[in-house]
Amino acid sequence: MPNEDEALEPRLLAAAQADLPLTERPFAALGEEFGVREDQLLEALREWLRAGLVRRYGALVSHRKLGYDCNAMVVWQVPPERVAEVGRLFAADPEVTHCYERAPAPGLPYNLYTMIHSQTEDGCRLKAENLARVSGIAGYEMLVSTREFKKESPHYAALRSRDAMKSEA
Amino acid sequence: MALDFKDEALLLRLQVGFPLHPRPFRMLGDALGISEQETLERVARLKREGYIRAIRASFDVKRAGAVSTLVAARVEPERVAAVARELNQHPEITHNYERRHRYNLWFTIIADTRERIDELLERTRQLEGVIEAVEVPVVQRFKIAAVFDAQRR
Repeated sequence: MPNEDEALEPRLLAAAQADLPLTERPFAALGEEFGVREDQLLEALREWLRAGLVRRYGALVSHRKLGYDCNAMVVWQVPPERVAEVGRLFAADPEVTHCYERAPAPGLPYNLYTMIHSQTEDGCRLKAENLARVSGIAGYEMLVSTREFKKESPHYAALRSRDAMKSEA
Repeated sequence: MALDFKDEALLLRLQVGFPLHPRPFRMLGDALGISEQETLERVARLKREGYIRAIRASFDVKRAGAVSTLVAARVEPERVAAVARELNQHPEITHNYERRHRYNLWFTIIADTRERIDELLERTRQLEGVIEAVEVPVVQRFKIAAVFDAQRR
């Protein structure tokens, strides 16, 4: 049995990351392509979502096409003791799509990184000013993207260190 | 073609709570009061017109056993495109943007091992026009969502 599981997992993983065909039974169609059963694939996806291995199953959309033309990274200098509080505050804003604490680097003394998407650069700027006001964090910079050279979703060929995964969960 | 309110509602439902069910498009259609066939036609059109890039699983990088980082580089302005092109040959580099800042090139690396990240960082620093490349790794994640609601614009 363990051998069978080992052989199954890479195929389930590949199917999960493949673009879902637009047919009435799309998971069955994917299953056929990757050599797994429809119910095995659906069960694996549900299980991976439950375990947090899969963050989300669904459509990846083009924010530019949807009218969010400005993509700004706003970086903040937050006193260490306020990082958790301010991070949660920013994360609650629907226009903030990503919010991470990052390690400061020489030349980049920032520890909180947010991505803001808005229709215009002015919209991004207003949002950043607003976040600064509600948080009281005055030290920040806005970095607007001027060219997109690459944007791809990573593909994973194998799931490594399943034990590490379990202990982390 | 412009989006109508059903397209917008569909776009949101396709991003959050996609039905993990043998007939997902029938379920989505039921929720919106349209047929499975119409749902499929709408999704196909949204895809054709570039609103939808793909429908698939997004994995948690760390739990999938991968290592990731964000790199900020200072590159001579006239070399930015060439440096980006060289970097983008590596599949481990997933996002790469020029930004208006003294650190003008920002890219993410998702690799199998820490050693591979170090190797790519070293190669970056050796590229012509790269003045400096520093890493700003994640300490803690508060939000990683990127769900876009066309109705909120």
